[in-house]
Amino acid sequence: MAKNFATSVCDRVVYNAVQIHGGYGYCREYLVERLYRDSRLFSIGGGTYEIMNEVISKQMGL
Amino acid sequence: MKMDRTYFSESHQIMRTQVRRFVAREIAPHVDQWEQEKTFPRDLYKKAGDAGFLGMGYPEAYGGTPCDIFHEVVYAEEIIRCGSVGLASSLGCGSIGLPPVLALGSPEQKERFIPPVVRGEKIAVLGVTEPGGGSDVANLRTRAVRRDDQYVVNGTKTFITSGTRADLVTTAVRTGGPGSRGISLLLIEKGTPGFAVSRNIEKMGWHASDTAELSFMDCQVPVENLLGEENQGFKGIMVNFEKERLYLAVEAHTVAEMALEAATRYAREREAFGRPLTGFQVTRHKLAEMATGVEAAKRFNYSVAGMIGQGQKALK
Repeated sequence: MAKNFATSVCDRVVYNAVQIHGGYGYCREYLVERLYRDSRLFSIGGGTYEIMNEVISKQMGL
Repeated sequence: MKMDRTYFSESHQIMRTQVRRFVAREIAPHVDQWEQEKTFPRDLYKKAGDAGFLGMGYPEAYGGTPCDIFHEVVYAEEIIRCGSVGLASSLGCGSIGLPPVLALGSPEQKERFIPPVVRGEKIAVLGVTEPGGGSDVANLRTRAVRRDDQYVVNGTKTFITSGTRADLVTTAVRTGGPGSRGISLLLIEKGTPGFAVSRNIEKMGWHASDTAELSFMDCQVPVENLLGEENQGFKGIMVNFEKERLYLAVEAHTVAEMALEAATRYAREREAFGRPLTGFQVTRHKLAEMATGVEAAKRFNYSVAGMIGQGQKALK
């Protein structure tokens, strides 16, 4: 749960951070550009978002 | 930065300062260049090893630094603040490559394989994922057949973080029948006949980190490199899950926090239509919502870390 929660927060926050930066957020010299690209893997690596949901639903007895 | 006393003590704060100094001195000045060059100098492992960062949680007998889960949380938060998730992950690849050795290895194997990695002299990685396999770990297809005192391994592994320069690959292979009960873990060393790096994969992000495809063609692995018992390897893969997921969750809240800080700074400085962006309600509210998410994720992760620290199961 913690991983899915944190990675969805992160996805939303980096998206908004780029948006607030406007065109600069799309440029390599701004940190948020890299954070946006690098964070995309969090919900894929080490157990995807979907696999985590499978684990959670199993724990719920579903 | 304000210290949260619910979870962190003075010793965690000391650790935080240490990692922060390490990042400022050894990583920050070069990180943009390393991202561009898509690699970083190998001796960074040695430096991190010397600082005691690669042996966190390992017994002192193997060169490790005993610590609690919140020291690891602090390390994860601060190392990723170098601004490159790839670098942090590549430097930390041993944190998934080694635990199976600690969990399943014989005393001889632990003595032989753990200390050099903890010192940063050798790079240990985990080789589980296969092309076309992905999350379906239990159905992996790389085969290992025992022939006298060797296993002959055939197959391909992919998405292996730090794989192009790994000295040791903790490799999941099929030694038995289908499913998770037919899987063993073999420690495959660089230079083993039949083991090759077949590709360095280009990626969207994580540029400072290399990601490899590894091939095993009649690769001859001595039987003494089998971890634990034959067909019992899945347990070794499982030992990683809890902490690896916590690490990723902590990295996610930290990256989100960094993005929030950058966006807040930018919104204060940047003027549009005669006032700073923070002069617009829409921007303020967006930042407020971002901050709320970050705070909630952080608290959630800390509470899960606390559970893991107390030995409770944190499967959910």
